[in-house]
Amino acid sequence: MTDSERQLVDLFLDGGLPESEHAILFERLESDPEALAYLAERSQLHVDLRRSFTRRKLQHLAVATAAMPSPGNSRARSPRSRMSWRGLAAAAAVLAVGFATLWQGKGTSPVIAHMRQAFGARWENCTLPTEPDSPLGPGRLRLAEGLATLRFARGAEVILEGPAELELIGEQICRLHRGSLVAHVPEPARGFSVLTPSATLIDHGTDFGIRTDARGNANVHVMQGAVELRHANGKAPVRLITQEMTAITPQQVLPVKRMEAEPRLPLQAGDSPAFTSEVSTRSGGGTAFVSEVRGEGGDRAPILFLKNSRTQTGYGRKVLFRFDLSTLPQIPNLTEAQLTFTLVPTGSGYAARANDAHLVAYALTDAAERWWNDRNFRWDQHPAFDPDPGRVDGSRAVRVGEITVPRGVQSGSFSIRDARLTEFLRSAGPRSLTFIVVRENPIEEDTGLVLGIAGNHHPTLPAPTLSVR
Amino acid sequence: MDRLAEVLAHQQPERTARQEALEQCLEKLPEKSRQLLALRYEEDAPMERVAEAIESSAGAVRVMLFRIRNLLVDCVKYELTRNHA
Repeated sequence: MTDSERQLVDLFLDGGLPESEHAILFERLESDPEALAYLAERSQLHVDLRRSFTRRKLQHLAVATAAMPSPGNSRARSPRSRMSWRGLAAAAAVLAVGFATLWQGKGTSPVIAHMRQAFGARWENCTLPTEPDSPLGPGRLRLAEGLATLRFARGAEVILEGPAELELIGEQICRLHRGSLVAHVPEPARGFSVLTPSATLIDHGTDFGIRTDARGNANVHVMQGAVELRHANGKAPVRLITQEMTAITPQQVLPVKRMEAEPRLPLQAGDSPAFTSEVSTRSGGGTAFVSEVRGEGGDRAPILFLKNSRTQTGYGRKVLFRFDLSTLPQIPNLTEAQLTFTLVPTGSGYAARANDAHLVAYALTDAAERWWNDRNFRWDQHPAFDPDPGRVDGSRAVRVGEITVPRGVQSGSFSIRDARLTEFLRSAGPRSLTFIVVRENPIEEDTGLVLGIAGNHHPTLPAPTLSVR
Repeated sequence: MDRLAEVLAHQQPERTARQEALEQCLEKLPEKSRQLLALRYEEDAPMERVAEAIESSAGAVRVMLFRIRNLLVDCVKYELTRNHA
């Protein structure tokens, strides 16, 4: 690193680096471990100096307030004594805030933000505290649902909307890995920056909203003020002002548009139109699971069990969905298909003992109608049977997609959207169609979580659906 | 940038000793340098205001702060090594 680059880091920490140069600095930091180590060292010194001088100021104030006259001495106060009283109130406030800061800061990471409030928040796997008023250092927040308000040290206020994953990096910088946030950035926090997988948003004093997915598709809306977007493609930055919006793809920033009165935030920017029709396994189809465990399984189960063990035999389970495609309107130019199901806790096994689950969907190439009966819900008699709980007989079924359920997740809606699924449906015609879903990778521990999918007989949750457009 | 938190977390055990070393180093600084830092950190003043207060330019303040911080980093390292020895 050169001295001038080192000075840039100092300037950034002092809040004096023009916003237009932030992205250049971030790029340098991303690519150079030495530069990153320097930023860490300087940030630490910055925090230590601030702490040291806050303490010195508090000492001065304490001395000054001890020397003040008592308020009852004079009924007619001079302007100067009124100032003193204002000063005393200010001193008291500074003392309270200062002591709290010192107390919270003792032996912990530098405080770069505070958790303010949360509404209906459900957190998962956070590396930072989530209690209201907690001081926050660098780390990650994962909000499964609800809202959470954070205030960064320089004044930027961020409302995170679940599901979202936010990484706190510094007083003026965070990284939104996925999900949405709305930010209010007052004047002292100008230059507040949000990194996303494909672009960096640099604030110029605004209210803005941003949503991104993990692949780098994002939307930005500026409610008030201005922001600058720098795409990883290195092209010239794009500026958005009040009531403007744009979408970002992994390749580029799309043209800026006037904001709609009701900002729409599709989860994937540049998304194709919504699915035009869908069919549920409840309309003429069915759901079932087959199990190596005797007496378990069948098509009446409200929860369909799914398991594949590495060492334990006799506990394999696979799930079957059947859709009656005759209820789907014929779509001449089918462009996309999606298979959606809802995970539900089974109460069987420990999530803590499980690893990520790779679920694979196979479409049966046999005529499905013939075998959908009780007898065929037995383990070794189900169609495309393979004794391995993670596989099916490849000569009678084709792989149409897969999805990973992260460790610890036992509920929520999951979708498989895959070109192979679309291709299969194009050639399937209006008939019954059966999918077999297996857990391809074995669970690491036998006591690990058995996954469950809501079936046709689940009392409240939606049954699997197949959507097309 | 992902590694920043890791780097900072790694530095935490030294915090108290480092803070004490910094206090010693601040005392060794010339009064003018300490006043400059006080303007910056005690008053949380932006560069321009610091520059106005000492009747200098923002660029000059930037360079002065950069040098003072370099001195402090070297001094803190020295104090920490000396105290551990």
